[in-house]
Amino acid sequence: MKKLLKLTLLIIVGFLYSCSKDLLDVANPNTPTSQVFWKTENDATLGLNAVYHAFYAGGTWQLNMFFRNDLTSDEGWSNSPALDLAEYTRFIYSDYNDYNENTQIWKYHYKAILRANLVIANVSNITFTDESKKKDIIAQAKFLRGFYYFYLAILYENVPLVLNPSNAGDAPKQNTLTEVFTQCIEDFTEAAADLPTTRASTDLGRATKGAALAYLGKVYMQMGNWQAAKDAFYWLVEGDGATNYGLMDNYRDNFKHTTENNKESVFEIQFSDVNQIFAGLYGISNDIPSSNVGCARAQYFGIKGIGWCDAQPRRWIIDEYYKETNATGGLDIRLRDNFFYPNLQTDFPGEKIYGQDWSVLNWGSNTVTSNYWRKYQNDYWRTYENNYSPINYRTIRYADVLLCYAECLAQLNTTPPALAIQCVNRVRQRKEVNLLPLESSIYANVCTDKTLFLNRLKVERSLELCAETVRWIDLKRWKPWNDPTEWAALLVRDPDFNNFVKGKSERLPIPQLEVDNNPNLTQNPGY
Amino acid sequence: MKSVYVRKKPGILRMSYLSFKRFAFLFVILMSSLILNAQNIQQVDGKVTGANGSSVAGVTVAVKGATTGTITDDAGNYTLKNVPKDATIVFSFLGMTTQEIPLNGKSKLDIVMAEANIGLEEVVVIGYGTTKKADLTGAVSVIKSDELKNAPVISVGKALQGLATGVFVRNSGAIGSEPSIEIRGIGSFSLQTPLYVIDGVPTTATRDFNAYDIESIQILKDASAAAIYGSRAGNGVIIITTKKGSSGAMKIDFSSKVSLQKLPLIAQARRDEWIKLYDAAYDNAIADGISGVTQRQQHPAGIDTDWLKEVFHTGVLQDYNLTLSGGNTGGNYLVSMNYLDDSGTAHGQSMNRINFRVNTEGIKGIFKIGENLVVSNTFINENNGATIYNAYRTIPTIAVRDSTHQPGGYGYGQETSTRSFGGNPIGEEDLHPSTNKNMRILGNVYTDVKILKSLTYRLNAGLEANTNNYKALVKSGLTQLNQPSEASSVTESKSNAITTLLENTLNYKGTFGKHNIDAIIGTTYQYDYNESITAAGKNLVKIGDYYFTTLNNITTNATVQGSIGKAVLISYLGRLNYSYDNRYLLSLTLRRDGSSRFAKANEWDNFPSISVGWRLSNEKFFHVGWINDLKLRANYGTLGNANIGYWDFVSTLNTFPIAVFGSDQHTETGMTVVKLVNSDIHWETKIQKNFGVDLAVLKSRLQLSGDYFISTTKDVLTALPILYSTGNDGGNPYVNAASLENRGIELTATWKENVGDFKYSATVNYTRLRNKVLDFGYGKTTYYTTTTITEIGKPLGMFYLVQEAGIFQTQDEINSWKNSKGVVIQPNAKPGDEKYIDANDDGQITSTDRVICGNPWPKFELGVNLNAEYKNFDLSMNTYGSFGQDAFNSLFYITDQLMDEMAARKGYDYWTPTNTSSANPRPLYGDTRNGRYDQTRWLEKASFYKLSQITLGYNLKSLKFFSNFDGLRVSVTGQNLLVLTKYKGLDPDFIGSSIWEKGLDNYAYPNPKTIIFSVNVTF
Repeated sequence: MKKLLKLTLLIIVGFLYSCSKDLLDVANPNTPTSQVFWKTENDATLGLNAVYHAFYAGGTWQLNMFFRNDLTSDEGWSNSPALDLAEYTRFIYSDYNDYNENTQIWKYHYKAILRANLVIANVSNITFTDESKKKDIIAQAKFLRGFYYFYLAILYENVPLVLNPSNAGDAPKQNTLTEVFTQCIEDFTEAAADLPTTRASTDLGRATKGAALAYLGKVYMQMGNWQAAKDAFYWLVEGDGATNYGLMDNYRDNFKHTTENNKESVFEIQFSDVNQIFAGLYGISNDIPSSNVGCARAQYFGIKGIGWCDAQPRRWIIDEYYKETNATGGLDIRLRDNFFYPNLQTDFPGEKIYGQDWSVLNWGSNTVTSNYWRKYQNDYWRTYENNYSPINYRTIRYADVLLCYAECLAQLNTTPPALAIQCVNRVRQRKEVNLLPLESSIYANVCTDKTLFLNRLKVERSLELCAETVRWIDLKRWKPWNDPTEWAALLVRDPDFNNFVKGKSERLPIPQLEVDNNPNLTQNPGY
Repeated sequence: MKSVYVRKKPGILRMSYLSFKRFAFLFVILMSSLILNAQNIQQVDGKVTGANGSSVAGVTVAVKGATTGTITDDAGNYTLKNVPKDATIVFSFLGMTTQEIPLNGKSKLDIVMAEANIGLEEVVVIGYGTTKKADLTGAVSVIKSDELKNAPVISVGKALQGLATGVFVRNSGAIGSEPSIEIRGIGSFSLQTPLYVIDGVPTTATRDFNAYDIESIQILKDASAAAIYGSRAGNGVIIITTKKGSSGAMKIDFSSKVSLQKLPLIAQARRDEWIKLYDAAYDNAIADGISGVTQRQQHPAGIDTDWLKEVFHTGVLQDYNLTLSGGNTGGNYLVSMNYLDDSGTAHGQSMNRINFRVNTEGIKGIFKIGENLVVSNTFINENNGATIYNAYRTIPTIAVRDSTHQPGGYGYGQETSTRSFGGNPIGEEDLHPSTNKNMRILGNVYTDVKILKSLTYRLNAGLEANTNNYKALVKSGLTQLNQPSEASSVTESKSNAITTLLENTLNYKGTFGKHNIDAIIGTTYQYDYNESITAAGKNLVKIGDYYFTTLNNITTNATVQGSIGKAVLISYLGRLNYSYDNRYLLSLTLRRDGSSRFAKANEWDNFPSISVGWRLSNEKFFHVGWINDLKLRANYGTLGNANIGYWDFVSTLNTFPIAVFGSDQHTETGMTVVKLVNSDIHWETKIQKNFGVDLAVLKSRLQLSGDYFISTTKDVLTALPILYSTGNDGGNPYVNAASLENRGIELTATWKENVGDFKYSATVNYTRLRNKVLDFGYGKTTYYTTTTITEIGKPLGMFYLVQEAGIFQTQDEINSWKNSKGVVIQPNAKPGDEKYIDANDDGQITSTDRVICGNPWPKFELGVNLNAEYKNFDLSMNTYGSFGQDAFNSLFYITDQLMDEMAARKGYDYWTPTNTSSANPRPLYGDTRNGRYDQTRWLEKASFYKLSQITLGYNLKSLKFFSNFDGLRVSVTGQNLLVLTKYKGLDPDFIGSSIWEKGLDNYAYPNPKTIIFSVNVTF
C-alpha cells in the first residue's frame, strides 16, 4: 500500500513539474502578427495596397460619399423611405450617431487614415534597393491621407488630426478647419514632389503628381488662396503636365467601365465587379476575403424598380440644359447622359431606359419624383443594377481642373482673362457636346464681367460635373447663404435649404458618441 | 423534380410517428420481461411507529432496487407481497430519516422512524468533492431533480428562474433559445454567463442537454464556494450532476411530454383600419409639405393579409425519454435516450434533438472506475433575423404571394400603392433557409484509488467534442421593394471544437476526535482547440425550381476560409475544509491559474478564498428550544475571468484587403493592422465578501437562509468602444478597464409539513441586487448608447432619452413653447405633434436633450413556489416576479410611428382636432418628428409577476390495473398562463439587448403560453 501511495505521489509531483510553463506558449497559426511586419519592400507595398482598399467601404467611396456630397447639395435630394437617409439630405439631423449616414463616414475615414499613417511611419525604416520606389510609396500614402482629411474637412471641418499610428486609448485633440487644410496642403505638396507624372498600365489607379496638385489646388481654393490654387493647377493646365491630360470626345466615356483611366481622368477610384460578395451592411464590407471591390452607388441611385432610388436630381439642372442649344441646334448631349427624365425619349429619339420605354414602366407620373440619375448607371450595357458596379469613379476630372483654373484666374483679375474663358470653352466645346464658345453664346455678356463670369461658372460646373461629388464643396466655397439674392435662388432650386441654418448646417454634426467619448472634442457649433 | 425539395412542415404526426413506434416496441419488450420475472419470494409485514410510539401513516415501504412497494395505513401497518428473501426494505417519509433494513429472511419487520434534521445531512456537490449541507460555509443553491420534473424541456437554464436566489434569469421564446442567466449581477463586461460543470467537465450551457438526466443542480454563488474553479468562476458556477444507477434490478423509466405553445401577440390593424391610419398620415404630410409626398397611396384592391396568422402558429413540442438503470454492489449503470421535436411557433422554424447517455461505475478493490458520456445530436432551423420585427415591419395591403413578382413570386411593396420596405417574412424564410446541425460528445472517465482509508487519488479525464455544420441557402427571389436581384448562393461552414481535460486530485478525509478534516490538492490541464472552414459560392445548379445545394454546385464566386483557435489553461488547486466539534467551520481555497490568452508576463494569477462558519445551535450555552439549527457564515475570496479571444494581446495582420489597379483592372493584395490591441491585458479579478445565516425552526419545518454580499470586479476585461478616430475596426480591443460593484441581499424561506396524507411545502425566494460602475477605462466617465447612459457611480445602462411632454393642442401652445432665451423650440410643429423637453435649453430638440429617465434594473425579484401532495394527487406552482424596472418597447416604435409604412396596432387611437385627449400624436408620413426613436414615448414600467408554471399530477399506480408499475403518473402543466404587468409590449420577461441596454426590448421573441401533457411510467 505504501508503495502505491509513493507511486501516486510521484505521479502527481511529476505531473506538477511536467506542466512546464512552455505549455502556455500557444502560437497563432492563422495570421502573422504585426511584430513581424514592416520589414521588407513587399511589406511596404502590401501596407500601401491596404490603404487603397479603404475606398471599398460604405463610409467612403462605395456609398456614403455620394449621399453626403451629391444629395446635400442643391443638385440632388432623397425621397428615401429610410427617413434617416432622407432627412440627412435635408439638413435635419435628429440622430448625430446615425450609423449609416454619419458615424460610418467618420469611422471609415479614420480607418483609412490609420492605414496611411502606418505606411508613412513604418516604410521610412525599410531599406529599399530603389530609393525612388520607397519615396513613391510614402508619397502615395501621404496623398491618400491628404485625400481623406480633405473630405473630412469638407464634411465636418473641426476634426482631430491623427498623424501617427494610433494606440487604443488615444483621445486626439480637435483641430480647426484651417489646421486641417494646412495639413492637407503639406501632404499634397510632399506627395506631389515624389509622385510620378504617369503610371505604367499595370499601376493605373495609383496616385500621380497631377492628382496631388489638383487636390492641392482644390484645398487652396477652399481657403480662398486663389494665387496658390492657380499655381498648383498650373502644372496641369499650362505646365509640363498639360500634355498628359485632355478631354474625351464623348462625355459619357467618363462614366463607363469600358473607357476608364483615360486622358481626362486626374484621380480615379478603381472599381471592379470581380467579387460579387454580398456581406455586411448593405452588402458592403471590407477586410473580408474576396470582398466587394465594386461600387454600390448605381444600386442606390438607380431608378425605381431597378435600384433603391434613394437619390434623385433636382429638376432645375435639367431645365438649365434646355436654355441653350449646341452649335448644330441640338440639345446639350450631357442632358441625355446625366438623367432619366420624362422627355428623354422625345428629346433624344432612340434612347431607352434599361432597354425599356418610359411609358411602359410608368416610373412615376408627377414631376417632383420623376427625374432620375443616369450618370454612373450601368444601363448602357445591362438591364439591372446591383451593389457591384464596375465603373471607376473619377473624383477629379480634367474638365473640373479646367473650370477650377478658370475660377482662380477670374478671382485673380478684375475682368475674366482670355485663358479663363478659354478653359470654360474647352469644356463647352468638347467634341460631342459642341456648344458655342461662351463669347458667342447667349451668355456672351459674362465674359466681360467678373461677377457674372463667376456666377456663370457656377452653372457651367453643374452642367458638366453634376453628381460628381464636387457641388457641395463648391457651395461651401461660394457660400450662397451669405448673399440674399443667391440664397433666394438657392431656395427655389432646392427647398431642402429651408432647413439650412447658417453657422451650423455648413458642416455635419460630429458623431455624438465620438464627442461624448473624447474629452478633447467638442460638438460642431449649433448642434 | 419539383417535389424533391420539400421543406418539412412542423407537425406532431409527421415527425413523431416513427420514433413513437420505436418507443412503443421497446416498451412492450420491457414489460413482458418484467412480468416473467420470478424469484425466491415471501410476504413481509410490520408496523411503523414514531419516536414517541405513535403509529405513522403514509410511510413508503419499498423493496430496494425492485418494483414492489406500498405505504403504511392509518395504524402504521403495512404488508409487502412477493419480496425476495434477501431483499433490503426501504422506509421513507418526508421529514424523517430514510431507513434501509436488510430482510435476511425475516417475515416481520417493525421499525421506529426518527425525525430528520431536514436537509442538513444532505450532500452538496461543491466542485472536486462534496460536503454536508450542515458544513457549508459558502453560498450554494441546490435544486433537485424533483423540482425540475415539470420544467420546460429544452434548456435547463429556463427552469432555474425563481428557484434560487441571486440567479437572474430572462427567457426568450425563440426556438432552441438559451435563457440569459446572471448570478449575483453583472460582474464582467466580456461574458456574463456562469461556468457550467457537468459531471466534473467544465463546459457551456447548450440547448442540447437532456433535463431528464439531471440528478441535481448546485449553484455556487460566492467566492468561497466557487473559488475552486478560480479563474473561470467569476460569474458563478452551475454544477450539474447527472443520475446514476442504484443497486437492484433494472429500473425502467419512460416519460412522454407533449406541449402546445402559443405566443402572446399584439393584434395588428387589418386592411380597412390600416388604410385609414396611413391615409391620415399621408394627408397630414401633404398638408405639411413634407418633401416628396404629394398624394395618398393607391391601395391595391382586395388584399387584406393577416401577417400574424401567416407567420405564427401554435407550436407543438414533443419530448420522449427512456431511462434504464440498475446495479449491484460491484457497480451501477444508467442508460438514457431522449428524443425531442419542436415545431416552433413561427414559419420557418423547426428543431429536433436526440440524446443518448451512458453513465457507469464499477468498483474493484481500491479502485473505482466510472464514466459519464452523452452524445447529443441537434438540428435546428432558426428564423433569419428578428422574427417579431419582420412580422410587424410589413403591411396588410401586401399579399403573401404575388405571381407577377419574379423570381420568387412573393408579395412586396410597390412605390405608389404599398410603399413599405419591409421584407416579406414568409418569402425571407422560404428563400433563405439556414440550418444548423450540431453533434456534441461530452464525457469523462475517472478512476478513484483509495490509497488509504482516508486518502483517495482521482484521475479525471474529460472530453468535449462539438461538430457544427451551418448551411445558409439563398434562392433567387425578391421579397422587398427595389431590392437588387442577387444570384442564388450557398454558404456552408463546418467547425470542430475539442476540449480535453486532465485532472489529478488527491483527497484526504480524516477525523481526530472533534477535529474533522477534508482536504484536496490537485492539478488540471485544459486544452481548447477549434478549427473551422467556411465555403461559399454563387449561382447554384438549378433544375426547374429545385436547387442543388452542395458545394459542388457552385458555378461562380467560390470562396473558402478557415481558421484555428487554441488555448491552454493550467491550474493548481487546493482546499482545506476543517470543522471542530460541528461548531466551528473553516474553509481555505487556493487556485493558481495560467492562461495562454495573455502575454507571457501576465499569464499567471492566484485566486484565494477563506470562509468561516459557526454552528451556534451546537454550543452548550445555546438553549432555544424552538430553534433546531443556527449557523452563521462569512467569507472573502477572489475569483477571476479570462473570457477573451485566443490571441487578443497581440495585434495581427489582416490579409484580406485587396485593391483594383491597372488597365486590366486586376486586384492586388494588401495587408495591414485592422484591429488595435492592448498587449498588457491581464486577469480580471472579482473580490467578493459574503455574510450568511442559516436557521431551522419549529421542528425544522421552517428553514430560513439569508445572505448579504458585496462583490467588486477590478480590471474588468472590456472590449470598451474606443474612439473611431483611432482608425480601429473589427471589434474593440480588450482592456482591463472598468471596475464594477454588485451588492445584494438574498433571502429564502422554506416551509415543509406533512399532515397525514397531505404533504406540502412552500418556498419564497427574495433577491435584491444593486450594481454600479466604479470606473471605466481610458479616463472615461460615461458610456453612451442610443437609448442609455452608463456613468461612474451609477448602475449600468440607465435609460437616457428625450422626454416627451405630451401633445401640442394648439398653435398658441407651440408658439409659447420656448426656451429660456425665448426661442420657439419646435417651430415646425403643428397641433397634434409631440412636445419634447429642451433639456439643454438650446432652443432645439436633438439627441443632446436626452436625460436619465428610467432604470432597467428591478428593485427586487421574488419567487414563490408551492408543492402539495395528497394521496395520489400532486400540485406544484412556481410564480416569479420582478419589480421596479423600466423597459423600452421597441415594438411600439414600429407600430405607432406611422412615418414609414409598417404594421399598426389594432384599435390605435391618435390625436385629431376632434379627438384631443389621445396620448398618441397625429400620424405624419415621411417625417421623424413624432416617431423619433430616442424618446420616452417608448419607455414603460415593466414590473411583472407571473405564474411561470403550474402542474397537477395524478399517480395511477394505486389503480389495480397498474399495480405492477412502481409509478405511473400523468400530469398537465401550464407555463406562463398568467402574467400580471402594466408593460404593453409582448412580454416583460425578455432578454435585454446587451449589458449596456439591459432594458431594451429589441423586438425580443416572447415566451409562449404553454400547456404540457406528461405521462411518466416507472417499473
